[in-house]
Amino acid sequence: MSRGTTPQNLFFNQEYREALAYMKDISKSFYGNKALNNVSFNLRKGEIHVILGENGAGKTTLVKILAGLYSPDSGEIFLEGKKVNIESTRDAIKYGIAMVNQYPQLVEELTVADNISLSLNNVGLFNQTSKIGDKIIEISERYGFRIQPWKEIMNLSFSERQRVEIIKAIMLDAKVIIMDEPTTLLTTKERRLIYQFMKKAKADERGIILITHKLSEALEIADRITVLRKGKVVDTVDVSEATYEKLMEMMFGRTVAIHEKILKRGLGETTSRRVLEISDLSVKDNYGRLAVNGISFHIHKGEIYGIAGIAGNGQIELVEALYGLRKPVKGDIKIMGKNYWEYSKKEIKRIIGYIPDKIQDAVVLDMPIYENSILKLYDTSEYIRNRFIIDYDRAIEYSSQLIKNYYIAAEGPDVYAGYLSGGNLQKLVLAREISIDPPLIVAVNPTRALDHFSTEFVYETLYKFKETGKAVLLISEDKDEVLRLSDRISVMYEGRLIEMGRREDVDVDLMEEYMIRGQNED
Amino acid sequence: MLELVARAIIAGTPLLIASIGEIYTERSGVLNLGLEGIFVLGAATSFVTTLYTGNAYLGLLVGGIFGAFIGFLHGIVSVSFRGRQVVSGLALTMFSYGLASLIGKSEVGKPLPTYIYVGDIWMELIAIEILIAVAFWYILFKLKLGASIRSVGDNPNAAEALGVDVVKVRILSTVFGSFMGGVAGAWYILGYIQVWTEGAGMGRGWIALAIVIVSAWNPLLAPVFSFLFGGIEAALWRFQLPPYNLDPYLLGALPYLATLVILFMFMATPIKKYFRPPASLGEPFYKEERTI
Amino acid sequence: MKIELSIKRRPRELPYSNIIVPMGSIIISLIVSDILLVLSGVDPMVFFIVLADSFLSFSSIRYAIPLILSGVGLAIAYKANVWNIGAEGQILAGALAASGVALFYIPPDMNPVTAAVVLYVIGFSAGAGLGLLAGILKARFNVNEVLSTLMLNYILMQIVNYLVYGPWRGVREYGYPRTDIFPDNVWLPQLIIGDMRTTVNIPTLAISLIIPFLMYFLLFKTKWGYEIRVVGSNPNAAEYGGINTGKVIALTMIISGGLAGIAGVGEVLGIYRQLIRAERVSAGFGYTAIIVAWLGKLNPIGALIAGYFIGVLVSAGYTLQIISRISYGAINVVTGILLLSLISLDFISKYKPIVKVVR
Ligand SMILES: Nc1ncnc2c1ncn2[C@@H]1O[C@H](COP(=O)(O)OP(=O)(O)O)[C@@H](O)[C@H]1O
Ligand SMILES: [Mg+2]
Repeated sequence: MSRGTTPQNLFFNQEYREALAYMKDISKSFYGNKALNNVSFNLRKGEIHVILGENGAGKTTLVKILAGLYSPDSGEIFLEGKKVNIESTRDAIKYGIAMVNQYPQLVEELTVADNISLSLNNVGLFNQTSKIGDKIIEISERYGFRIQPWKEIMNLSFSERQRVEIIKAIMLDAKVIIMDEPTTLLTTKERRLIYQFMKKAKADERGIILITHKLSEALEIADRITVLRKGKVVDTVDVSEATYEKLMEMMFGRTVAIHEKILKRGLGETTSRRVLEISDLSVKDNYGRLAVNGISFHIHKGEIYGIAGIAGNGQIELVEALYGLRKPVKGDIKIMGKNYWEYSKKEIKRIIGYIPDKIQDAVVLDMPIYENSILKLYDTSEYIRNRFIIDYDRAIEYSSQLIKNYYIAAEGPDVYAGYLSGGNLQKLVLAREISIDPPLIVAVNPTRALDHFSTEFVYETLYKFKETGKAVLLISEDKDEVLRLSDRISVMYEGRLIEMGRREDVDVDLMEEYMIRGQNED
Repeated sequence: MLELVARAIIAGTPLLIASIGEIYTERSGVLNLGLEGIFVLGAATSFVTTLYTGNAYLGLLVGGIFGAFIGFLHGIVSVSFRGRQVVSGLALTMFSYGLASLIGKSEVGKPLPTYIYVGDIWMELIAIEILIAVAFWYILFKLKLGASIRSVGDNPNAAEALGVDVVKVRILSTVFGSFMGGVAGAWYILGYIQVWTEGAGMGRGWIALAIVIVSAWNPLLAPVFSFLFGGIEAALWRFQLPPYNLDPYLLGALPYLATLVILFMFMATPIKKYFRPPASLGEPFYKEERTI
Repeated sequence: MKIELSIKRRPRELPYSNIIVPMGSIIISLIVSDILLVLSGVDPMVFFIVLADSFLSFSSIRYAIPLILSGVGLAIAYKANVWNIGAEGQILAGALAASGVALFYIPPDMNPVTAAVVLYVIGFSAGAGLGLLAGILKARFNVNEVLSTLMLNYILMQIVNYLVYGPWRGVREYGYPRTDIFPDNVWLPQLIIGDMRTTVNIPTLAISLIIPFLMYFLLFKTKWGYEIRVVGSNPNAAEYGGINTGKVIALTMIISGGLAGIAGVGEVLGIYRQLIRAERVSAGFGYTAIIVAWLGKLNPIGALIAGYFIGVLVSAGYTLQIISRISYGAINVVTGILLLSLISLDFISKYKPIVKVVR
């Protein structure tokens, strides 16, 4: 193995030779969709380098390549001037690269100690995993995390899981620490402690890559900021040169006024008939634990009801019970004034348009778009000829319409759903669900994978839908999204709802506080 | 009665060996339906080996090695190539049936020069087997090795992100389980029936697969069900003789009927709630799968 | 220097993989078979001569009939991700039920056409019933269908053998383990070419030619087919769309069990005209049909073609068994390899292997 003397190396300027990590001309595509297009990025010793970009810009893909989770289609990686081949997480760990994942990547059935020990090379295969318990407790206490090493991951909340990821990264003692949106779910105090950790690591000549979508956070903590847009680097700037406005423009192309358009519109009428009425509903999760604990609320016609909350607080179980995928243990659901059980299973699917959190559960990836577009209508008189034959011509025509009206980037209705990008998959489901024209739409994180333009489009679509006198239940991890769209708002925490009232009455700081810590804690 | 217990233990031993191996394989997320063929192949190859070398322990080893080889093929096809595990397993069972028949055909019915006699020490045998089950439980649930195996069976994408080599762990677990399957088939011949005919051992791999399920993928429970099925087999032999004189064909259906009934009782009662299969059992792993 | 092998999912499946993959695996398995034969001292060309002969022989068609019927049924079940391995038992169930009715209930003066229809229906129902049993166990209690159908295979085998050795043993059969010959009004007519009588029975042949097209239509044009395919590709999406997964499981088990049952009827009424030992009635067709389903890429019309091809292979296998000392077990080696190479080649059509040389 020859190190560091390949011809290209000689032409590096000083900057790159000294870079802790230098990613050169990286490209990566999924199913033919380019997620990264010739991206170059470098991380200096002793810096906090923030990557900014809207959803789907390719931030996670870029750092996953550095962390060995994806392999690039082309491009090279240099660590301290040496070309390296990172084929797996194991290689990355060997080179001193650790990553805190955006969505915790932990094994549910294993304990915290089991999970972390899997990353640590100094725990041998024939060692007990419990041997690192003390160390976990120590770190956890230092950062105020209160994580118990012998607890199984399935018994931890989403934010606790993220803390486990952070502890893992700390224990790996890495030179390059990648944090993919780690602070979203932390309390202010915890966030401060993480900032401290990052600053200390910086002083130790380590490098930190921080992905965030909070501009204020970027401006506060970063040394340099790289902005990605649609898989390309817009620019890398020093934080001293960066302003809020300038970053906005880099991210979206032109300065856009978010949080404005829809807020100004009038609120829906709240006196009219109730579309959905839930009283004292309790639902268990897959492990038989009470995930939804005696919830009551209702939604009127022409109203968007927003439930904000961090993942794993019972939202999924709530909507699954509502949509008939999960049996509640107690409580009542009324839709359009009728009791839930008066509807057949099929009817429920048609009076509720449902955009689930895991969008892959709502589509069949190895079927063409036109077959996916009739998933809920295939046995209705509209698509059935001669009692049991499906009218595929009509399905093709219908799906062409959806593709056109909802700006789905696909060559035609016979493209397989599996070849669509995340954002277009999301739009396909939205298009299908709205087109059924149900009285109620349940949307869970409907814009997670979407870029700015598509997000606006989804908001617009949901808003128009409500204005026709329909109801929307919006469930989201993104408090801004909830604040922007909803007429009435509540926060879900550990299976209970905390009513925040009408939007204009909501105390935003309190809402954030409730999302992270609930109502009762000090 | 005591004799029946002894026979149950002896007949249950190969089932125990095979099911503990398969528990490891399935805990890693790989369903190996090739186990049936591996058992039969292990029986044939160990028979021929022992016949020619006069060394029963070498027979056990060779049976295990052939099993491991089939398991390796299963690993390549279903883990590396992402073939459907059910299909690959069935294909390998057919293949192994064929191979076993080719290898043993000309030696049918020849008397073994030596075998493994455990008739007198069956009580010690129980103790050893329970100790072995406990050891395998300890490795699986307490050591990092076990955590690696369980991690790739529960959530391979997370395991890979944590630094586990999913493909390697899955293939090695499959190879190990298949080695045990081969040894089990060998033991069936050398330690139990002591003669080889074409098709010897057929059906036992399936029963071992069922034992894995009703043991809830836990090595501690495997002895219970292995000895139960061993007991059924021992009883069958007894009931063909006077004064019972039951029909051998109807009796022959009994182990399979019992398997079906026990599977059903396990799945239809609330106990199954406490025993979930490995979450990704049977799912192929692709590193760059969308995880959200 | 090190060679790294990685893979990447292709944006599109390789073109023509529906043809290339089955063809490729057939070629691989033929080469392996020939090597096996050469190793046991047979001239390498003999195999291909026998194979070419079999392509035009009626015995290939005779084997193709049960293989097509069971294979098409299995394709439907596998399309729904229902792993019915029980065609063997379902063939036996059909044969058993038809034999019982033919022996004890069909009056000797019944019109042969009526008798045939009645017996086909009986056979279908028996196979379907056995399939449905496993289907219900899976749908209601989540009992693994691979194991349950396998167990039922063994149980059926033992029952058939019990009957032919015991209560149903024929009085005119000199103690052989088989029932008496059925009355001739239930015999299914065999194809006669010139003055040569073949073992191909016409009605079952006709059924096995029609069924694949019917099932193709069912799978790709009707709402039931849509449900089957959705359940098979993504059970979560099926639930999401309000499809009753349990019903789909039951339906596919009824179809695949029933078609295997019809195959069983064809065997006993069209060929043996009596119930014989289980190992000879179904002769492993139920397992070989799994290969037919996969070789046909789970497409019913594909299974028709694949069934014929495997029929040729089986027929050639029997011929070879006679002219060489190769045992029947050798056929298992070949079918196993065929199936393995099928799913391995499938991999290449979906993923692109990338070889990197790392310095
Ligand atoms: N494993 C994957 N499979 C298919 N598409 C993916 C995968 N990961 C990311 N993508 C796609 O790549 C694009 C960039 O995604 P990502 O890097 O996650 O964006 P960001 O983190 O900036 O929000 C998106 O269109 C997304 O749908
Ligand atoms: Mg991201």
